[in-house]
Amino acid sequence: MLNNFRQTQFALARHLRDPLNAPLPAGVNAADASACSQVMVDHVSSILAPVFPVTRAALGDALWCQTVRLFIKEAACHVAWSKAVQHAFVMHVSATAERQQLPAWLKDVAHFEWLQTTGCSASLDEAAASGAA
Amino acid sequence: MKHHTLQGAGLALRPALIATLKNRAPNNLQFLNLQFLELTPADWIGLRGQQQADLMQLTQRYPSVCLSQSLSLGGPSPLDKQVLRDLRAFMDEHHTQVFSEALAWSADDAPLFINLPIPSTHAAVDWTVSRIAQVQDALGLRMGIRNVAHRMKPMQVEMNEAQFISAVVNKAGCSLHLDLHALTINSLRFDFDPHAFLQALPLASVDYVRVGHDDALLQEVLARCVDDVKQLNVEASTC
Repeated sequence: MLNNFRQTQFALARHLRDPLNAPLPAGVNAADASACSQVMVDHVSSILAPVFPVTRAALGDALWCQTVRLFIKEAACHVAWSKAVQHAFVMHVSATAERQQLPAWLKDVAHFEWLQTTGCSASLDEAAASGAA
Repeated sequence: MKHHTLQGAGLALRPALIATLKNRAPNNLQFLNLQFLELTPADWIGLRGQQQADLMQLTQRYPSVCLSQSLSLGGPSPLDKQVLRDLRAFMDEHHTQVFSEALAWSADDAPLFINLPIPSTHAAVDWTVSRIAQVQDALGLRMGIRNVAHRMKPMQVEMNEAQFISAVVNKAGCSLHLDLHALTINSLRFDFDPHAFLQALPLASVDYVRVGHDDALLQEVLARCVDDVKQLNVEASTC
């Protein structure tokens, strides 16, 4: 079975991941594509926000969105399970912090927040609470 | 025709609702007159510890529906076998009876975190039908496909959405899971008559309806759609 429309789908996906650099495929409304890109950022943010409140607050809205957009652009996550997305985000921030010119301590904060959700350890939670205060 | 044993109304369970349920109605949904749970696997797969235990406790008492949008059913890449294995393991673990997948595409070689409309073409019908067969083989059950809300129209169009859904359902022989909230959003966004759309669907194949909504503006249209659906012989719905 052939999917004869797959090149069109890949072209749209490339554009949605990287609207500034990948061309808008013919026949696609620019406003619609822009709305789709925003939905993607909002969706990923909603998956990440509960786990990374300190990271998000430290970055501020604009830098947080930029970080999420790069995460989407580089297709850094291969499975859509929320836990996997959150883990992939930590790995991606760690790998790209210098390139994104993020504060040096940020990847440690993100890593720490990730550990809090996975460790379920009282001592870790307490340490995180005092560290974030 | 119904292809499962669920009846009545269900609760779309999110991890954030667990605490409320435990506080107000420990191990008991009967005060809400709910008969089953609707689980979005992306929220739950990979959870460990107390949240996982809480979910297990609920699914041991209540039947559940797996409401997936993770397979990119009409997508350009092969179906992700690991995702299929994870879904099967999740459904086995929680004795889930019903599997519902978004009729959309949502990945290139990785998730895009959005449901995009499948091109409404005859080739895309065949492509989607062949993938439904693969999913049913992998999961060992008859699945349902679900209409979803979209932000854009399909890139290629040879038929309208209701015709596309009908063609897929008829060729695949799967169930149709009707999301009235999504239908209402699309009717407002793309300016079509939701009632005519509903009547054009293969309603005899509907065995599950989602009614949930979070926008007051939609309520009136939604209520009228619900009235339409009440005429169907549908026995399981969720909100």
